[in-house]
Parts: sequence; C-alpha cells; structure tokens
Amino acid sequence: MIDFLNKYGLSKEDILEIKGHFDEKFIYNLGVMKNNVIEVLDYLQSIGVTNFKNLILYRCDLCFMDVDYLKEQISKYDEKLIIYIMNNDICDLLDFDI
Amino acid sequence: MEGKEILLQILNGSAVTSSLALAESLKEEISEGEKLLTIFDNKEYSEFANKICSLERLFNLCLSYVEDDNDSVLLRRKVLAIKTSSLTISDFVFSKAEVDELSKIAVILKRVISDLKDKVVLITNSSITSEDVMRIKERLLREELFTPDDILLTERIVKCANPSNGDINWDKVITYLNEYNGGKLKKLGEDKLRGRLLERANFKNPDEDIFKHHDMMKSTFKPVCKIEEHEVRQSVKEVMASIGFDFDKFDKISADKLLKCDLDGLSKRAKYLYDNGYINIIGSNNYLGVCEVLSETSLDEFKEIIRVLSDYYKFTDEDVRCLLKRGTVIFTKDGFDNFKHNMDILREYNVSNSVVVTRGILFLINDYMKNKRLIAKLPDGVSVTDFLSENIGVLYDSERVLNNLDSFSLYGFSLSDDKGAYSVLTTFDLAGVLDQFIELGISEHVHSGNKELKGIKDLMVRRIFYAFKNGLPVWESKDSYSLINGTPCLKEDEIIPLISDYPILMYLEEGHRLAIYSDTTYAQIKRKTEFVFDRIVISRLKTYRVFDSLVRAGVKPEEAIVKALTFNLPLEESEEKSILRMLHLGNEVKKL
Repeated sequence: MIDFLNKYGLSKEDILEIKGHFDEKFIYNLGVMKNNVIEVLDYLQSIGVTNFKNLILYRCDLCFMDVDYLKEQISKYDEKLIIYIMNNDICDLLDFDI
Repeated sequence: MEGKEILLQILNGSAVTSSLALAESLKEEISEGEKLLTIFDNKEYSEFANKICSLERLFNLCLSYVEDDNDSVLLRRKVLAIKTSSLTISDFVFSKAEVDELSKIAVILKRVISDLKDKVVLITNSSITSEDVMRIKERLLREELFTPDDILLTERIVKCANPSNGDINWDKVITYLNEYNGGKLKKLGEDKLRGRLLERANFKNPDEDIFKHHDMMKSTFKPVCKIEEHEVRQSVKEVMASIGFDFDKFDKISADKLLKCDLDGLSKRAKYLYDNGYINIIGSNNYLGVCEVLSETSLDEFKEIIRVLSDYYKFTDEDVRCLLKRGTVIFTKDGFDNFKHNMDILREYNVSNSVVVTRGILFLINDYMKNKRLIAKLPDGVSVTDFLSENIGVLYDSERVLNNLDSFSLYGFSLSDDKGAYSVLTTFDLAGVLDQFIELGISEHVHSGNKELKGIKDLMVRRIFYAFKNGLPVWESKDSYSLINGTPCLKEDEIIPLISDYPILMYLEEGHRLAIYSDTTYAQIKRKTEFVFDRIVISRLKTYRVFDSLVRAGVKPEEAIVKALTFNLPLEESEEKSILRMLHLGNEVKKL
C-alpha cells in the first residue's frame, strides 16, 4: 500500500516503523492519496531533503499539503535552512509556520 | 475475429466435422486392415498382395514402420512384384521367400492396426460428437443460458477444432460467452424481481410503473458458482479497462471491493468519473484511490457531494478538484459524513476555505470526535480560530497537543491570545524544550513576558538559527529519543506515589528543591520545576519524567536517577561527580 515510499530511500524496516507508528486507516489514506504524497516528496527530494522517515513520522501533514503552497512557504526562507531543519529535526519546521 | 464469430464459424464449419471424419476414416482403415489380416491368415496370399497394394494409404503406412528407408523401398518392390506375378501368372505358386515378404507386411499391419485403434480412442475421448455440436448450436439459437457443462463442452469444441490456436480462440470465445451469459443473468434477475414486485402489487394497477423508483440492479444476485464469478470478474475487468485501469493490477482487497459492487452502478460511476475528468484528478495510475471512490459511493451520492461542496460550503471548482486529489476519501459516503462534521467545526470558528484546502486535509479526514475533543480541551483565552488556522495540518495528532497543553500548564505557563505562536503547542517534545530553558537558566526570562508562547517561539527560532549557522544540533543528542521524548510529564499527584515507591527520590525532594522565601508566582514555579545542585539547575519535571520511563523499562532506580538527572544535560565530569556525591550515589559514577 505504501511501498511507493521505497523510492525515497526508505528501507523495509523504515516502512514497518511507519506502519507501526500510525493506525491502519491512516496508512490506507496515505495509499489512497498517494499521487499528492508523491508530488510533495518528489519536490522535497529535488531540493535536497533526505530524511523522509522522520518527515512521514512527524510531519506527514506535509504529504497532504498542496505542493504549490508548500513551495511558496519554503520560498519565504533560506532554502538551505529549511533543508537543514528537515534533515535534522523536522519538528522545528513548525516554528517557521510550515 | 471476435469471440462470437469464431464460435459460429467453428460450429458451422468443417473444422469439427473434419475432426469427427478423421476418427471415422481411421476406423475404416482399421476395418480394412483387419480384413486383410484375415485373408493372410487364410493363406490367400494372392488376394492379400493385390489388396494391400490397392489400399495405397494403408500400404504406405505399413512401409513407414520399416526403420531403414532402403529396406522399405525394397519391401515395396518385392510386394508389388509378388502382386504382379500372382495376377499375371496362372497357377502361380508362392515360394517361401515370397510368403515371408508378405508376412513381414502382415506383422507390420498388426502393429499399424493397434496404433490406429489407440488413435481413434484418443480422438474420441478428446473430441466431440455431432450431437455435442448441435447442443451448443441450439443453446445459441434459443438464446439460452450456458451452463457450466455447456461452457466446458464449448471449450473442448473450440480447442479440438483448431488445436494450434485453441487457447487464443478460447480466450475470445469465453469473453463473448461471459457477456452473453451476463446479459441473460441480468435479465433473469430483473424478471425475478419484477415477478416478486408484481406479486406484491397484487396486479391492482397493471399499468402503473411500479419499478420507477427502484434501482433494479441494487437487488442484484450474488454469484453462486465459479462460472458466474468468472463472468462478473470479466465484466468488472471490462469496466475498469474502459477507464484505463488494468483490473489485474488492483490489490486483492480492492479487487474484491469492486467485484462486490453492482455492475450496472459501477459501470455508470466509472463512465461519469472518467467523462468528467475526475479519474484524471484522482490519478490515472492511482488504483487505490479510484477503487475507493468507485466502490464506496453511488453515482448519486458522488454528484451530491460535489453539489454540497459547491453550493453549501462554497468551495470553488478548483477547491473541489484539490479536495478530490488530496482528500479522495472525502468523496465516499462515510468520508463525507465525517467531513461534514469537521466542516461544521471549522465554520463555527470561521476558518477560511483556503486554509482548509491548502493545509487542512488531515483535519478533514480525521475522526471528527477527536477534533471536537481537542477543541473542547483548549483553555479559555485561546483564540480557537487562530489556533485552528495556524495548526490545522498537525492537529491529527491530538494526543501530542493535549500533552503539550498539560506540560505548558505544569511548567507554570498560562495560555493567552498568542496569535502567531500557537504552533509551540504542537511542538513534538515541548516538555523537553522547556526543560532545556530551565537548565540553561533562562526560565525567568521566558516567564517574564505577557506573551509567553511568543517568547518561547522566539527563543526556539533563535536557537535553530544559531545551530544552523554554527553547524550544531538544534536541541539535544537523540539518545533514548524514542523512549523519553514525547512522553507526558508527571503531574504532582503522580509524582507523590512515585516518590513513595522509590525512596531514593526523597534525597532530591528534601535536599534540592528550592525553599520558598517569596510568595511570587515565579518563586512557586521554580520550586515546582527545578532541582538545584550548587550552581547547577536541573529540571525537576524532566527528572521524574525520565526516571519514570526508565524504571518502567526495567532500569535499576539507582541508575535511572543518574540518567534522569543528567538526561540531555551536558555536564563536566566534576559537575556530574559533585551531583552524585550530593545524592550519596558516588559509586554509581563508576558503574556508568
């Protein structure tokens, strides 16, 4: 259902951890709306984000966000700062209203 | 050529009859051969030689059994010579050598007859009779339902008629038969339903269209045998193919969902969604999403959802497309019911549609009862509109927000209308952040402003910038991250029994909590939240939170207390020793 996440460097163990972190319904929804999830993750990957496991575990709402809106929000800051936050402690992104 | 044409051609054509004729002609050859053997056994050698040569096919067949070609040619010549001599020479007497040559043919003939008999049995078993062909023809002529036996027989006829293309032809024919039977079954179902409804209506008014308000196919019959299941599967396959989806690529659960749909409704929904571009919006390769909408809502319900979104909730067409793409589950019966409750919450607090569409999908698909419970627990003074608008995306983790609200209060903060800073309440480990402010000695500063949330947010952002500029980690090492971080703080009524369970904690309470010499609020907060070891301040709430987690995980209390005090606190060795000495736990340093 969410095996498409393999493409973002997530191992089988990571995917199992994600499945264990959320309830079944949430995982199902991730699969149902996968096209938007892929759009967002592709964009983040293109700007240098690598820590997709924590992104999904702690900020999975980003996966359901309008990708253009996300781009607009990120463009308000130094992109390197946002990538630094995303690859380190993605929870801090909230303090930048993203 | 389509399945129907192939089947008719086979039934009407010579393919079947040639197969049947082959068996018949083989039987004739066997009969001729057996007659010849009788002649030979009766020592009528002249007649035997004459007849075997006249039955050219059988003669050649016998000769083909001779392994060496030269021997075969030689045997032919000799038998022909014997025939000629016996016919032309009156009172011809067969020499022993000539009889031996003829007996060679007779021996071979026995083997040939035996093999021909085997072949006939094989053809008869795998083939069909003209009665069988007639039976299938009549089924088609009378437009009768094909039974499982009929279908198996048809398969034999098709495959027997043209063995080399049998499988390909059969694929096309079975597709046709599935459509054929599907139509018959549908009509049968409607007739049965019509009959039942007519009975109920007691024929009071035969002209009345009593079926007007009934969706005939909703009362559809369940497949009762393998063949019907196969037909339903084939039809669903065709419906999905018509909108560009390969049915075989659906996972089993999705495929089963689609197979359980009434076929007519499924077909109409698929066509409507495809024709109106909704399939493209969900994703032309999004099998799960398309299955969800096709199997969990009727066409009328889907249209109604679109109408309500536009007319009642005033979403623009673009908004509707965004919702369908990013919140596909909303477009199902259950999903939309939940959505309406969530929209009611958002409308009550005047959250704009643009916020909902850009960031609020998870809120919309989250259980509305969870959302309601969270909002009900927000303390007075919080602007729910601002709180929702700022954090709508991350409120699906309501437990985290509720824990943070508790922590915020336990650390002595009070919530006020801090527009723009409510995101602090969704911080993953707010308690951990507040612990660090205490241990850095900036707690008083954080508590000093009117807008405490804003103050905390500013500090957090500054710290992130500092860490980024200097290439440092923003907060703490991630040791024991999953075990400790994010766990809720203990309240006073939870700390008291913990102390009585582990008397070692008494040292902390008696010797390292601040005595209150002032009745200011901040003095009370410090006593509640800090342990002091000379010049080192350690968060009291952190210590208990970590200690509780560790002893629950099976760590010895003496080790847990050391870990808890020093958790995420970079100390010099001398400072650590000093703390342990004060706790009378000097030996624990060596252990660690």
